[in-house]
Amino acid sequence: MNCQNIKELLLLYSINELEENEINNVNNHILQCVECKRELEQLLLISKTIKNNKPEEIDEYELQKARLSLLDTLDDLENKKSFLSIIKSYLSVSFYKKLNPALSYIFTLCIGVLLGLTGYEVINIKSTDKDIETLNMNNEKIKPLIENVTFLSSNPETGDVELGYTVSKQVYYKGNFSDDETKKLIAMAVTNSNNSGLKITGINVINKQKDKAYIKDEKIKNALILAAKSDRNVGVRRQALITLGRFTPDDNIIETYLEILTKDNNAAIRIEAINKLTEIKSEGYQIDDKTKSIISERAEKDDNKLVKIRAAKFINEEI
Amino acid sequence: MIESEIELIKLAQQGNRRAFEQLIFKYDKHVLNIAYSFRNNSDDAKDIYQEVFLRVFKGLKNFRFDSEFSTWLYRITTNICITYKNRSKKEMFDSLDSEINNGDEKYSDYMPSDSKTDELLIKNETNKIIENALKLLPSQQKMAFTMKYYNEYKIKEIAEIMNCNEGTIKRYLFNATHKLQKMLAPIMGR
Repeated sequence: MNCQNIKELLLLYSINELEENEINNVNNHILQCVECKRELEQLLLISKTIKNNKPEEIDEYELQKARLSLLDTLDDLENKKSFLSIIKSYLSVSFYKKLNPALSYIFTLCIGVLLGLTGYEVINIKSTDKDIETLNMNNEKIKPLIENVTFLSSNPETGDVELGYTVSKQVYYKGNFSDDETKKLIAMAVTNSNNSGLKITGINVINKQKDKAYIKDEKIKNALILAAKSDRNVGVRRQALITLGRFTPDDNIIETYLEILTKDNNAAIRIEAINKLTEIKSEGYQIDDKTKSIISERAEKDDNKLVKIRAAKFINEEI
Repeated sequence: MIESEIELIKLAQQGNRRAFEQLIFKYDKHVLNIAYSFRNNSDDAKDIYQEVFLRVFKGLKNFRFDSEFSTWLYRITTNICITYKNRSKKEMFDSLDSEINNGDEKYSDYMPSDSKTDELLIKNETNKIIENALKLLPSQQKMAFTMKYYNEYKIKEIAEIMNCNEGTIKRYLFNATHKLQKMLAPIMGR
């Protein structure tokens, strides 16, 4: 083989892409050709240099973060889908298709009027002591069944919050974070919304309040604890856990961190629980033996390497 | 493709979310590594990861089993990597990195205690040269390069994933390697 043919094979030789007979041809050639031999040595060195400098594989923690974010997005997509499929199934109801256009128009108009009659009420709460009042069609007061809380706006500066929620009819609510009713609604949003995005919005509304008086509010705290421990969505659990860190630590909160550390199936969340324990330790809170024992166990037995490292670091700092 | 994977794909195509997650979590780390090798940036890699799996989620019903699932998946990955453009993002939440990592460390930053300063300097300099050289490459060439040298695919596999012939991949590698050879020459003492 001549040099021209061999030169085309040298790069492939350096990256292990040649068949055995081609390797032999190259080896035989370079025994006699100094130039090709030098060229091959350079290419082998380049190949070795590149491989020695290849970026490290992305770490497990980044993978977990990417997965969390993806699962959140898929949840949101599925929630949108189910709403659209309800609309679609309504429109494809067979009797509706058979109606002639005029009747179809009248039918749709009737539906619209019915929805309008169930109506909306705008309520302004002026006093924090006043219960939310809703009136039925006979002007009688009824106790509201609250669900599907939606956030419209919030102002961290003033504490004003605007929400929508479903009773037997849609109700618009405007109040202040210092109101008990506002806190009740937000707590419900965090635990009862069907949409994880709405739960996270609720948690962020709590997170961004400048007035920290809510940190004494049991409803808000319990809602966050419940969300952090048991929400199906990892994004919700993560945000609830982070926001719990703004509360004065007490036995309930520490128990929550420990329970998350031992039971949550997501490694990033378990690491966050250790971080929260680290923060309260740095604020002067005494870490008891039970807590140390649980964290030690994680340092030995957790099936995630990063959790183990983090737990071990916590214990080492304690010694 | 093994039987159980075929079943998993069929279930996922029918909308079974658990099956979908099980399927993608077999390959997602590799997808992330392909993206990371290409972009050398973890935020970009995670962006690409999201886009890849959203596309898979929406397009899985069109998968006809005429190739390995992994080939189809990595083809989507390489296409998105190649067409990916930097974009600034509004973060919905505060970044967790500073909290999780206590603000000043990453777990990958634990250096072996016997690293020599000179070797580190040379390694850093070489890294920079390689990184700069890769930035100058056209995306297709860069993808072939990273798939070969960083992800260790064979040329035949790269050609299948990138949906072109082996000759084209060889040409990409030839051009990329020679550019790199010129740029590395000063520190390799040629």
